Amino acid sequence: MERDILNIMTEDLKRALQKPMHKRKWGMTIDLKRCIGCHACTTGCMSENLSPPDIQYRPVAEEEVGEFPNVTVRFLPRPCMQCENPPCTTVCPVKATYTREDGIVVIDYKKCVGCRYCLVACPYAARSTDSGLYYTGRFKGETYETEANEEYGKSWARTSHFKSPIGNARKCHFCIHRIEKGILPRCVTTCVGHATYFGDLSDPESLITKVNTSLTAFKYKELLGTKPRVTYIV
Amino acid sequence: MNIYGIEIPEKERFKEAINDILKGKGGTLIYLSIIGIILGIYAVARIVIEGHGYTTNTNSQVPWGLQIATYVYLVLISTGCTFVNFFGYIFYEKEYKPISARVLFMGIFTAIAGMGALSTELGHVERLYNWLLSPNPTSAMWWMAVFYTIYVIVIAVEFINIKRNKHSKGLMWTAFIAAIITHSTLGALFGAIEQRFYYYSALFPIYFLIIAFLTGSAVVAIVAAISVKQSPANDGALLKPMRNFMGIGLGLAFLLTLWRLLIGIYGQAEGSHIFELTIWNQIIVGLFLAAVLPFIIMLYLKGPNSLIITGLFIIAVQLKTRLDLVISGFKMPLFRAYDIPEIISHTPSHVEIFIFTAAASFAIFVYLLADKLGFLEVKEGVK
Repeated sequence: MERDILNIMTEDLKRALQKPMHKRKWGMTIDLKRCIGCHACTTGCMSENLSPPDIQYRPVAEEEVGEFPNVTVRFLPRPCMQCENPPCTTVCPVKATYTREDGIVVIDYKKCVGCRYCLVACPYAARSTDSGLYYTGRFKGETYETEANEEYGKSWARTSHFKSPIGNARKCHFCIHRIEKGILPRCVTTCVGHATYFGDLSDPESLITKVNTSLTAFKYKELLGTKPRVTYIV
Repeated sequence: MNIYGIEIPEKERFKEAINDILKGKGGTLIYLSIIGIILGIYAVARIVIEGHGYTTNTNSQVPWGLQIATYVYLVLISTGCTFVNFFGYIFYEKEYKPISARVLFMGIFTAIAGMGALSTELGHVERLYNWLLSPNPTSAMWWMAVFYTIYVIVIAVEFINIKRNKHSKGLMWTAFIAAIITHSTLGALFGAIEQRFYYYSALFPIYFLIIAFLTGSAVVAIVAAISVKQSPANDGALLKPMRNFMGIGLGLAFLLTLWRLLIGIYGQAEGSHIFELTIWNQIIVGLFLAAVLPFIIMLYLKGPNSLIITGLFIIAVQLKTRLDLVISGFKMPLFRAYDIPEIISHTPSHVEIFIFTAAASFAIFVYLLADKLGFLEVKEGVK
């Protein structure tokens, strides 16, 4: 019987965690043929990171192509590309955003001044600003909106607009708090079509490395020279 | 009273000025500027109490709005004042000298007002100390803040020197160079963003300097024209140089705006469609209203009033063009999820408008108060 790819990727993940941080390079691959546009990854991500209004770390673009009767819809899920050459870290005036040794671009919420220059510079619009909105209530949301998420392995409650993460730039971080515990990112586990692969790009035995050899693999806006660590397969 | 060679207005003069204002004899503009500052206090209070999300119309799609446009607008005026001060001394020293302190004073306080507007936009302004603790030299924004601080200090020192009647050419050159470096860095902050086709251009740093010269000369022209009107003894010799400065500024602004538009329309890169989308706005506002019409007004009207009308017209239209410049970079979303429109429209909230009103009012109020106190006069022989 063929093994579930989630099990394979979890094993890959645990194997990668045995290595020192600088020797693993996390990457993600999205097989667009398998994406059915259900937005389960978006909602999974939002519930994992307790995203407020106006913030989606992993939205899915929908585009109609062709003309009747030859018409179809295609989908493009967009996490942060975790670029090897990220424009967002270059422009940050206070080094609040930087690339970790394992390749994930992170934000130091305590350092970010909220200038939003990184939002302007990111070519993928993968960054959002947390301006303090709640789904319910003007000054204070329901408990589920204010309780703490676990981004970057810390506890971030949205209880006041004087406190981070409100006022900060925010972005997808490949669910660092999960992967460091050996759990795959939420968007990977919620994908009903198993369209999202995750793993260590520096491990030749990992599933993601094998998948990335596909002849139809491409990187989004790669001509910009940002060297994304997210690959798409069509 | 004299502090470090600078004549400080006497206490009685302060009391007299405050009494005049309290008794309703301060002049209309001073009361309007006070109202503007009160509106700004209200706006800041709203932001502090409710947060940015509920008070401003900026968001993840349009991260920069009127507060950033206000900052750019005011610091360009400040730069322009420094430029006019430089060229005024170089080419028309005798005519220009009497208003030099006014020009630099305006330059200092428009820069401070611009910084104030910017600080209301930041998500965590209380963390600005990170500029020192965690500097990033690859960031144009980091450099801009560093140069900006140096620039304000240099023009403040130059102002002090002028007040002491010890005008130094070396310092004047330093201020001029500091203004060029600081505000071309601000242009580069926008121009280096490859992803935003509307911004991405090596022309931007130069464009900012030209617009700075134009807006600065418009403000100084108003100051000069008012001082001519207020003093019957003044023969108006200063008006011609100011007219020349504005004319040159208008011509250069027209040229750069035109080339930016034409080059943009030729663009084939992703996002270049923005220039086609905004073409009529750029022709009508950016070229006709911002450059051609004020030039015609200036040609056909004579006397100090013509400079006041032209100057006011220029600075009013330039505010609109600054807002267009900042916001147009975000009109076309870089990534379109299902709920993001093809073209993003943005209108500033009333809180953002009040922030602009307050910043401009603050600069005007401080200038008028200093004028009332006689602090802006350059007296011969003061050492």
